[in-house]
Amino acid sequence: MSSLLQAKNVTKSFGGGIFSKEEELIAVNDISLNLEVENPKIIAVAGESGSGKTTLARLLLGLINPNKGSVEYLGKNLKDMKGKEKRDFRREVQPIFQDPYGSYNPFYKVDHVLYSPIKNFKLASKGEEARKMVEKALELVGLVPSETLGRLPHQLSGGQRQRVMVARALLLQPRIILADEPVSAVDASLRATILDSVKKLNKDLGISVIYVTHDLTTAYQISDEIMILYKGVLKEAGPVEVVIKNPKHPYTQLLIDSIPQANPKLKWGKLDISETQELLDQPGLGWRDS
Amino acid sequence: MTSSSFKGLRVKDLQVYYDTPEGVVKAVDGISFSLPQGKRLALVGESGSGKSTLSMALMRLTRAPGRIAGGNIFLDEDDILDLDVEEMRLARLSKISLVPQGAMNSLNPVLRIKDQILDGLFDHQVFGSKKITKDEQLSKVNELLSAVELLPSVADMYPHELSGGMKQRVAIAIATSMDPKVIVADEPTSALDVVVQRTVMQTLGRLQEGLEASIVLVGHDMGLVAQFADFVGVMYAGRMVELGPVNSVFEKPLHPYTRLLIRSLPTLENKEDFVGIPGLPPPLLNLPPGCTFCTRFGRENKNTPPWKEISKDHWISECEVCSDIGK
Ligand SMILES: Nc1ncnc2c1ncn2[C@@H]1O[C@H](COP(=O)(O)OP(=O)(O)OP(=O)(O)O)[C@@H](O)[C@H]1O
Ligand SMILES: Nc1ncnc2c1ncn2[C@@H]1O[C@H](COP(=O)(O)OP(=O)(O)OP(=O)(O)O)[C@@H](O)[C@H]1O
Ligand SMILES: [Mg+2]
Ligand SMILES: [Mg+2]
Repeated sequence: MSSLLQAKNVTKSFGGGIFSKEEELIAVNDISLNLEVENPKIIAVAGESGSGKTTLARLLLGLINPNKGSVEYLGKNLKDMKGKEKRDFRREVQPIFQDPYGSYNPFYKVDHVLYSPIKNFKLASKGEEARKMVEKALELVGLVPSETLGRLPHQLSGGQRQRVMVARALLLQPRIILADEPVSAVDASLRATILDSVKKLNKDLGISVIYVTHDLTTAYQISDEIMILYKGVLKEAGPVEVVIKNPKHPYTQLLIDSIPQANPKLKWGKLDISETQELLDQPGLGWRDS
Repeated sequence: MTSSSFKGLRVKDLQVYYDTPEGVVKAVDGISFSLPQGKRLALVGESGSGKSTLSMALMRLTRAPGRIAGGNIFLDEDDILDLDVEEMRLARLSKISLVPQGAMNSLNPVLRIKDQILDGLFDHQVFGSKKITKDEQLSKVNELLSAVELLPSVADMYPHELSGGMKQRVAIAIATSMDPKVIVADEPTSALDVVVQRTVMQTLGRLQEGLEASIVLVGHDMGLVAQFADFVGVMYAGRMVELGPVNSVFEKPLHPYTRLLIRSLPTLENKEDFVGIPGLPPPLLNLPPGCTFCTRFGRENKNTPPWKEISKDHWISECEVCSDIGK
């Protein structure tokens, strides 16, 4: 099996230099992950806020470099990529960033984020063709093209902005989509619609997906595998059916227990967080097959 | 209860429009509700249905090309739409405060957290004319930070040093810093994991109960809404389509949109049950009168459905043409 994107024991820490007064913070601690060329799958990366999910995503995109370990795309260390290799990587691995506001230039119409990649990567030869591509991508995420195009970012609602970014990634039909909380700002029914289209991309077009989220329910619905992070450490990983249906690490158990049920009569969380706290630092269980 | 003695937030036939070159976007099209003091209302509904527009209007923070085209927003007895600009400025934070959508991006990137918290307090002269020491300032900051479960060390940090979730909690600390009577929270925890979400919502709830404030919570997470709210308002295409006590809305949703929304919720039991609502909401631009949900299913009702109380405190916009959908 050859690797498409592989993280080998990556560690990333912040602060704590010789001249720094702050303590070193290990945001991502010795994490490995492998997407194979032959077997496109959806991997969910879940964990609490601050557990290092976004940092891991940025490492995988080569936006920051690890202190230890390496990230390789098709066997090539991201750190050593140049020119065409780098351009190909940027085209083939598409991020959807967590923050749907930060990805826009407030002075450009939203059309810009959709048309500029088509131009940069020469995805269409004619204007008409480009327009069709854009419209199709928008419709896939439940947006009305005529209502969306021509607007400035602040003229769209939060969820609409987030969906434009998803549409952009769909448009490019990359080999990997790295989505950091892509649906945190949309309602349940749209979440289903969008994630369903992501799942179709995976099943029909063989696009691999890394789905960063704290929403275990949607992670369970669309992913094949899941990695649970806590304070930068991998606590538990494996097929979703194994990890979600039969969680072994206390942190995973707490996460699942804390999911608010859409039934006002069920109590939110049975485990006492303060009592569980100490158990959470128990060492990780690594990969579980059963 | 007579309306003159009502305590809480009362919104009457509120209209908020965006004037665009293509026409008028009626993002909030005649919404009414009453929220008694100390109660929690959650607003849910399609992305783009007007929830944030409504929250901003409650704060009178509507910006051009948006405008409040009509209606009233009573806080206890007073219509805040009658306040002058300076009165309204003072009312924000101290009477009605907002945790904006994407609050984590509303923090000033070049100011330390403690200074962002103190800014609002100084602006409202909370410390009055008396000189307060640096220590007193810091202890107020620490108190507010600990209320949202953040360590005192966060006070000296800049926003980029915090995770998305930590920033969101700072925004909550700022919004509750002046003991407001109404807290409008637009997806305050959508960036948080469920464990932190639970503690933050407990904190927000505790703060709110302590202040006897009302909360308007805008949220997409129906689970969170079910666990937190006393009342649920369901919005669709700029209108409220259902409003009622949380138990009856979840147990017996009366509007077809609410039924389908509840049905689309993913579970940890069944992998196949995860389907959205087909079709698109209508464009809000130059929206004609009539039932806005019918069109999604190729039906038509040209009369805007009446807003009716079906059982105690449980209201829907009742349309005979689409009422069978999702039954
Ligand atoms: N540039 C940076 N400088 C210093 N510390 C950082 C930096 N980026 C992240 N961190 C720290 O690293 C840790 C992990 O942050 P990260 O953003 O990866 O978390 P996350 O899991 O994505 O959280 P969330 O769910 O809130 O988005 C946090 O403690 C954060 O404060
Ligand atoms: N400045 C503006 N100019 C024109 N239309 C606008 C503007 N701001 C918002 N809108 C439109 O008004 C409608 C309501 O937007 P709003 O942000 O209130 O939705 P929302 O219910 O909060 O959605 P979400 O759940 O996605 O945050 C949307 O259709 C949006 O496109
Ligand atoms: Mg993150
Ligand atoms: Mg909104």
